[in-house]
Amino acid sequence: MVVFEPGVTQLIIICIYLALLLTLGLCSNRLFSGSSKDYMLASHSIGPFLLLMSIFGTTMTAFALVGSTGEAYKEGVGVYGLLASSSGIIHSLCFFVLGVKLWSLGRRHGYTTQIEFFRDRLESDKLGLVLFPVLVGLVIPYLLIGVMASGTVVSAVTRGAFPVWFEATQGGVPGWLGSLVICGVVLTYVFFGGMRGTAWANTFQTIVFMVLGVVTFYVIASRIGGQDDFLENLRIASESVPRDKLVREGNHNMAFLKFVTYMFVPLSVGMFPHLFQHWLTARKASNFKLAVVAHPLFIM
Amino acid sequence: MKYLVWSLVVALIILHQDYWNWDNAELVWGFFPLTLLYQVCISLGAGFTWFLAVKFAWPQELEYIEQQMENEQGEK
Repeated sequence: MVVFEPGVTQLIIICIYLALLLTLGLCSNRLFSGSSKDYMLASHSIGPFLLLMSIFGTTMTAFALVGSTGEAYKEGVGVYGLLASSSGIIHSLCFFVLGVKLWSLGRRHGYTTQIEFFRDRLESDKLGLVLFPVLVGLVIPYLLIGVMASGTVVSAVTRGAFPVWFEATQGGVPGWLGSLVICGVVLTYVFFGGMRGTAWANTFQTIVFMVLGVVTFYVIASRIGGQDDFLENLRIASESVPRDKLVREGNHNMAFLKFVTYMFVPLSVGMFPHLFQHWLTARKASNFKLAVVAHPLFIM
Repeated sequence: MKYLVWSLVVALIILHQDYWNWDNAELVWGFFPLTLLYQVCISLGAGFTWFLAVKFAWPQELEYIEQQMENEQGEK
């Protein structure tokens, strides 16, 4: 039996995962018709399931997956209400009130980008010129969070794989290198696959992280207390949680006013340029129905 | 029904601010923090409310737009 250095198995799994993403992007290129509408909006061909998965995958960024998990470890169970359940209400509200309306306007007037929409509706080219750097400027830090988080995760899980090459990271692939490779993979599948490739990749990634999320929870929870019974393990784990992590009282990071105002954060999805583009890919307005209903449940 | 759906959305937003659970450390079934279970119920409630919204408050004019687009595509 082949025994790998610690971290090598994880590195192989990451490489296979990235290779699958590349394959998806390249395969979606086979359906590319050559038009700009097909590249930017997948020719409005996305059905309810792909729309749900691509929208959900788009909103579940590193901030949601890595950031909120770390925040919950630090601040306790209140983080679920602060970030997750509020998003379940507000995101669907944005899809229902804004997404469907923008889709119908986009189909009627042939918009392909958010800037195009604002320029046309407000009848001002100058506004488009102002809005472009503003939106790009706001998207850059948002994207960088994802790039940095991916590098950090790759570095952490591959620790021990290359002890001679990367001493500073205890043998893990350095964060910058992990981020660089992931950027290269994303750039490739977006370049070749366009919006169709992005929707396919988002769907694949969403399925992977949802299934693995449940599997990881089960594997950890069934061993955490050192007992055979699953529920007994959960009881032991929960009883060991300090009281200040079970309540929000006395935690200045969970002040009531802060909790209330966090409800405004998910409203940002209404102005995400990439989400706007995903909305326009829908084949029919009714394709939004599944995304509106299932989104809060998927967040849960 | 439309008004009921939008009232439910407002109710969800209000119920989400569970100030009454701020200092509650109770574990339901011995392992599930009550404050977390409450917010899980909010998520389930959101799913149900949005189900009612797409069923009873869906903009009807969209059906017309869709039909129009299908006709235009058929003509092409």
